[in-house]
Amino acid sequence: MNQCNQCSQTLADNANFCSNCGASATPPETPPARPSTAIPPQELDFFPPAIAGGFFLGLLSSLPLIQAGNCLCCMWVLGGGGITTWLLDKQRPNRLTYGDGAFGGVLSGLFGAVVATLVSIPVRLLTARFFGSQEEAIEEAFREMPGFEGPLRDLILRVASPEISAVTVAATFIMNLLIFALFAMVGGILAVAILQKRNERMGKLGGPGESVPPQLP
Amino acid sequence: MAILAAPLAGLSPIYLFFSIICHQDPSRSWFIAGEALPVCIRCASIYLGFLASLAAGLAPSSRWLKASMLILIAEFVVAWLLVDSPIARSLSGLLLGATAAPFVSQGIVELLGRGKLRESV
Repeated sequence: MNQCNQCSQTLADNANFCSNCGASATPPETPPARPSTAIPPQELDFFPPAIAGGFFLGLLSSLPLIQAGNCLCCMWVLGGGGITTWLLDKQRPNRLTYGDGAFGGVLSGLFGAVVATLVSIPVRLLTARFFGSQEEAIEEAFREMPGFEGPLRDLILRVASPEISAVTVAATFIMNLLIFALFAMVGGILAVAILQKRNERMGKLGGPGESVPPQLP
Repeated sequence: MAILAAPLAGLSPIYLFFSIICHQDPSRSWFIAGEALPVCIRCASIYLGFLASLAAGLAPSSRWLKASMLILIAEFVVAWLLVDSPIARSLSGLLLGATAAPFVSQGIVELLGRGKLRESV
């Protein structure tokens, strides 16, 4: 049994109009559901930006002479973290949290450590003579530190030597990883702080990044 | 703290660690008890500014952060081309460390929170 939409009169199943008020018996069309205007925050893909940032920082931090740029506040490593954040910001403009910047920075530090360790192998082979002098300089410095003995001292001397072995490559990787992950994380965080205000000034959509809860990668 | 303790206690590994990220030129470093610190004046100032800012609980300000970055770069260029002043190096380093610390601490808190969030999923 149907009911009239206007006067609630009971209608026959095959009735086209209400016998009481004359209104059409067909049910009123329900307006189509409007698409939601709230755009869910886009899921961040951390890997391509982190690989790009890691390649930048790893390469520049391992090339002879150019790597000296790191003497200015770890410039290349901070820059690698910053590049990662900049690329992440293109995925989700002005919606990055400091945690996103930190995570991207740590990942780029990890990739950078891999790149720097791989690049350091041919660099060692090509600059073996310099490595020899570096080893001598460190040995000389150690002579002035009589209390510093043991396996750590031997490992440092081996890393400073032209030797290429599993031990020296692993030690180089671990040192790079510690430093790069830490400083690239700082670079990633500071880049979020800088990009946030720039995006606000340029009038891009979205509120400040702090108001967005951290997203899982 | 490790930077200050290294020359006092003769902690060689601290010197070795910081040698990766600082030139450790004694002529550009502060001395404690006749020993150079394991980092240069600029780096030591950044770390001291960072620590002081965390202790004082300064609020994050991206305007100050950008200004301090520009000041440090300008100071570096001036030191390279014209006059290299230890006072300018320390002041620019202190400012950068102090303005960066609130952002970095916030980022680390959020990064650790992200780890907890992943564990709970």
